[in-house]
Amino acid sequence: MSSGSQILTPSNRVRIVVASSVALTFISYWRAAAIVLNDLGSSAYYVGGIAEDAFGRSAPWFILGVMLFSFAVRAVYVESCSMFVRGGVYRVVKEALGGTLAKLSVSALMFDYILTGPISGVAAGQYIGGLVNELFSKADAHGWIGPGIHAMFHGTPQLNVNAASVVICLAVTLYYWWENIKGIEESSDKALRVMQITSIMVVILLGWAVVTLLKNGGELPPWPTPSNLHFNDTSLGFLQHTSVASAFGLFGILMAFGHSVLAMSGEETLAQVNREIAHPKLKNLKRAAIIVAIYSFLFTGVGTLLAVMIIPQHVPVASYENNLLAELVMWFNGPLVVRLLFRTFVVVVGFLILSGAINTSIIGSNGVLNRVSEDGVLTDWFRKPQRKYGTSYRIVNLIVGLQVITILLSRGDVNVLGEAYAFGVIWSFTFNSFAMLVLRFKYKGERGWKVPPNIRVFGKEIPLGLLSVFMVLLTTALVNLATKKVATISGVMFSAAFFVIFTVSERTNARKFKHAEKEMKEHFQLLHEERIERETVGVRPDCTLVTVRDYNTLLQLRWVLQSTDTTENDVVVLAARLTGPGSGEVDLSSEQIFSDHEQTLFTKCVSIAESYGKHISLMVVPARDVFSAIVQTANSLGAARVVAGLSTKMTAEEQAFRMGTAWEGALPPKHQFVFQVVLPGPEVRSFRIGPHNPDLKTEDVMLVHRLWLDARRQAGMDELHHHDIVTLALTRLAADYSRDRQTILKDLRGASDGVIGKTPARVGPSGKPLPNPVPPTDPRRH
Amino acid sequence: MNALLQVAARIFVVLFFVGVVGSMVVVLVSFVEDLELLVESDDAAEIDRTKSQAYS
Repeated sequence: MSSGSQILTPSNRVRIVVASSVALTFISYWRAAAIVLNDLGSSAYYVGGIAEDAFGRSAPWFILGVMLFSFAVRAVYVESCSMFVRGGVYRVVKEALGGTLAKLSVSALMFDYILTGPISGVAAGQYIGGLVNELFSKADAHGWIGPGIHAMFHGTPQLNVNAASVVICLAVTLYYWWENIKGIEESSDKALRVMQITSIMVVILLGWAVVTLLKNGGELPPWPTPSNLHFNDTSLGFLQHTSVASAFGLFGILMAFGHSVLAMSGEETLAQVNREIAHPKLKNLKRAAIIVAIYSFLFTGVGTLLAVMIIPQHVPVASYENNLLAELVMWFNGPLVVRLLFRTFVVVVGFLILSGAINTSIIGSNGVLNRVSEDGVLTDWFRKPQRKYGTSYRIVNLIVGLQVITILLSRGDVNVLGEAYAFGVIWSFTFNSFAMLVLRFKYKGERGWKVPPNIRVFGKEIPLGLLSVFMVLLTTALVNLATKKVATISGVMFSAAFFVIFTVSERTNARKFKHAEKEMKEHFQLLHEERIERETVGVRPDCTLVTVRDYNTLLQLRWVLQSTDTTENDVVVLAARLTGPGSGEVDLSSEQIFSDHEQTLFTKCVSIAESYGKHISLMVVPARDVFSAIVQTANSLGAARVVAGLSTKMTAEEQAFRMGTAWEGALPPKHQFVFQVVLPGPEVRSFRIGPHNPDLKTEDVMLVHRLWLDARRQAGMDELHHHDIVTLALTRLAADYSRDRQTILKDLRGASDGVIGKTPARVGPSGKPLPNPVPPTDPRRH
Repeated sequence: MNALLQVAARIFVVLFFVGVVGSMVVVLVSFVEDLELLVESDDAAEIDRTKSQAYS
């Protein structure tokens, strides 16, 4: 493309249809709640110990208070999601307070996300290490550890729990790093299953705790009064040598609340999943939010309270602060073996939920950075797709790199991580609630729901509820700045670094985009369409849809153009734009769509088409699942065939299977099409997608014909057709299938192995053996 | 400095506790409202079509 050439008239430019909606998989409110709880619920494993270590045994009351307050924070998120489908902090703050504060708020959120991984992984490691040491101790007490091992370890073998935590956390983080590089599909099924297992554990845990209390009795933790608060030097932070530290009074309540606030980390995930919640969206969002709030109140809040009530006061906090739930189990009423078994269950569930939180943190930060990147805040360099897997690998590398550094710096100490973690949590909430408050006066558009109560004074609505939530969040955030030294220093440094990256990146992008826009205007004409329709794209029925991704592998486009007369059959080139969770589902601007990558891709497609002297149409569809996007576009255009290149991570058969699965899941109206995968050679594999006439083997056609011939000779069979033979055979097969499914399935498995075609039992209706079948042709695909 | 901290602490305490009272009203009102929504019978089966895909 020559930038200096004269701008072409719109009619001469290549039209690119840009769909502004994303192909999404919608989920029920139960699944949405499960995803949020995987993040929010994980804090139950560590927050109790961190808070108790910071200010003493009255910690459970504050955690209960924070969990109760999280109901109000949830209300703020529901209101923001009812205004913007993409109700995350960046979008909301940008709308209300502008780009600078939005960048600051998203920097704080990034700090939250980056730390979620390490704190969850290290906490999981602490539980595993604690269990192993407990098992060693109990085994030693029973004399099951030999003197040789004793001598080797100079006593009972014990793991260095902090070191083990670092190793476990690093292993899980690196595992999820690789999964995210490969582009794992987010599965709400997995989240739901983890939460089902967690629920079983929570019910047993709370139930057994209540039974223990009824049998053994227990003491309520000291009431949350200033006199019961015992801050250590670390938890006083910068206030350590001030008059406030010596006589804090009610201010101490505020300080303790600030130390417990990380119990509600994970609420932001609610905004991330909102866009995937099924219709009726707002109702289901509120249902998911209330489930999340009740569940986390019981698990984190009540669980911590019961732990402090049951674990005797003489047990030093330091011995169980990183293993609160495991320690609680050991004080339950019941046989030791059962307690140890249940403790193992608690640890396994903890590992599942906490390692899930590591994945959520990588996916969440990737989503947030992709979103700001699409808004032009990060340069295209960050968004460059991974060559083999098409994922935004540079962003994933950056996130995981920062997490690995954090894990190593923490040296397996959950308290240090917890100290820092609260910074991101509280500041992203504060920015969000402040933005929502401003939007009450600034935003006049549609709003599905408002945080109550709201009163009218002189015709003006005063958002009392929202204002109250903001006041609590702001005061807590400011007090945390003074009391959480580690959080303030690391949080400010981290957020400042991210803010600078965002600002510099945004400026570079703006300059670059001006140039790119000029180039785009010379060669491409963008048509934004809400939905893809054949008329708007301007193609005839039965067109060919060619999917493209990597500009280095466009063999499929060359093959199609070689073998297609475009005056008879239209060719549409489709680029499905992968969007991360929470990324722009509405109004993708040309700035968002056309990074360097897309520009090069389309320019190459156009030059290939020009080299064949043929016309192509270009189209961009944002998608979460590429196959769903292709199927939906093919349905909307009435495409007769879809042509793709060979995937780098799937065989042609696997690609066809995924396409078929997406077709089954698509909403009607839908029609069948042929899916062709072009392999190097070029060799083309064809598959029919959707219900279709099977490709019958020659010997099967012969069998049908012979049966027909034989039957036709009998009296009263004048009207018999070949299809009657097939119908009867299928009806009988269906009857057999309903009677004896397993045998039929066994035979069908044999058929797929080629066994049936080789059976000697191919006997004609008259009892005579049939002639040898025609040698099998290439396996037909269905 | 200490005097300034004391004044700031008092202001924060007032703002915090007023905010807590207001937030409890938010919790009560929205909790009742949402709980009704949760127990309300709905076409849940239709909603839980997790495999369904469509343009948003």
